[in-house]
Formats: sequence, C-alpha cells, structure tokens
Amino acid sequence: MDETDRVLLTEIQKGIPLTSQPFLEIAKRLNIGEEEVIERLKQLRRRKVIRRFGASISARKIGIVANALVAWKVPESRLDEVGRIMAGYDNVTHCYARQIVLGRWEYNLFIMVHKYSREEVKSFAKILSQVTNIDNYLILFSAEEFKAAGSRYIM
Amino acid sequence: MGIDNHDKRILDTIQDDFPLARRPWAEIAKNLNSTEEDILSRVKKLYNKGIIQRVRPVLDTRSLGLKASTLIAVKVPEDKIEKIASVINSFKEVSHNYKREHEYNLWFTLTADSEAKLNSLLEEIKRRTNISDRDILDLRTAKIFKIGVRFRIK
Repeated sequence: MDETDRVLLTEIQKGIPLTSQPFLEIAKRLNIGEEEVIERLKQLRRRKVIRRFGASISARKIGIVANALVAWKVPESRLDEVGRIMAGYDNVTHCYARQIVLGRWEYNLFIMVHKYSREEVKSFAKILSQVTNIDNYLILFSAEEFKAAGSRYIM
Repeated sequence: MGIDNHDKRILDTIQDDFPLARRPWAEIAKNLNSTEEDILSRVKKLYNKGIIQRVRPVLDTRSLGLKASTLIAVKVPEDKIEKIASVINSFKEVSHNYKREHEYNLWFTLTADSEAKLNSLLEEIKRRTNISDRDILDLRTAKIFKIGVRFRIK
C-alpha cells in the first residue's frame, strides 16, 4: 500500500458521492485519474485490505432495534467448534473468543445479534444454545448506542 | 418507514460487493432490472431518510497492522454515563461503544497495533474517566470467528 492508496482510503471512507460517476469525483479531489482510482480500489479489495465495500445501513431506522451482545461460557476444548457453528448463522454479525478474567468474568465467547425485537433475540439465543449444547449464557441488551461500526481509520 | 420492496432489495444488494466501475449504480440497476436513474433516486431518498448512512470500504484492521483488540466493560454510575461515554468516544481507537443492561453498563471496543498500545490506551482512558480497576473488565480478543455486519432486510 503506497501513499496514494492511503490518501485514497482516507478520503473514500467518508463515503462516495451519490452520483452517476462517484469515482470520477473522488479522482478529481485527489488529482488522479478515474481509472486509477477504480484500479487501486480493485487491488485493495483483491488483497483484502478492503474487507467489504458497500453501504452502511442504520439498523435502527429499518426497525432492527434489538441489539444484543450474547456471552457464552464454553469449555476450552469446544471453543473452536462452537465458535464456528455460531459464526455460521447469518444473524450473528460478530463472533469472538475472548480471554476471561479469572474470578470476575468467565464467559469466553461473544456474539453480536441484531433483531427486530428482544423476543426474537431471546428465541434465537435459545436455538443457538440447543444446537451447541451450551447452557451457560448471558444476553446483554444494548440500552443506548454511543458509537457504532464504521469507524474512521486515520491512515 | 415509507420504503417498499424494491427499496428493500436495493438495501439488501448494496451492503457488499459494490461495483468498482465508472458507473456503479448503472451496474446495480442492471442486476435489479431497473434503471440507473431509478436506483440513484431511491438511494438518495434512503440516504435522506437516514437509512443509508454512506457507501464506503470497510478496512481489514489486521492488514493495516492493527492486530490487537479488546472489549472493555465498565461499571459507571448512571448519572455519569453520558459524560464518560463521550470521553471514551473521543478516542479514535474506539469503534463501538454501547450502554448495556447489566451491572457492567458500558461496553466498548479498542483496536491498536500492539497489546502494549492497548495497555497504554486503557491507562489513558482510566486516567481521564477516573474509573478504577475493580470496575473494569478487559476482555482481550483470543480468536475472531466472524467480523462483519450485513443486515437481511425483511
């Protein structure tokens, strides 16, 4: 990744203009050619520096208001297996194994779930529990979103 | 809500694999059996309603060298939570910050290029918010099974 890539990525994270030729506009701002912008982005996506390119949607605005972090206590030996099963569900947007804090916090697998209602979150968690045979879990509903995904990275 | 099925299809389609082409909306229109004009006008409408936030690349933090991450849970008094949340938000290394219904009522993520950097960020956060160690849980990432947000629009 060179300096131009960095500048391009910084600029484009603000969001592309909603016009017929958005990459042309960005090219103009950066004083490079439209084709070059497109080619660089393709390369970055191919190399997986860009993990995903698309629209960020406000889940809340379309009624997906129940957001929950669900924490599971999984035996160490089953962590890989259970993590992979849970990650396989479309409705699970994030799935991480984490270090515990001995004596204070022992849930070691975390998933994020976004649904239309809390009831849906609870039913879904129950399904996951049955499928994986993990009974010890905690649903942490969000009460307020102070900052959400789509962080800006300073290149 | 004021959006129809055609809008929903657009929302479902544009969250990923955005065409990197001179006329990306025209390409999307072709796939959805519509016209560039129709797609663009609907997208602008959805943007004005706040449903679409922006069209942008999501970067792989690890490929940028940001290999260390953690989830922090803190216990803060109800009357201080807004203030503390905004101090935490001021750190660019914080990407998610939620108030949650639990005794640990504020949960946020921290990403940096090393564990050491995470440690020093945490120290800085503690200093600026006055939260004590016994009210903090530092849950370091051990393994990432899935990272990505894509909503299925019903």
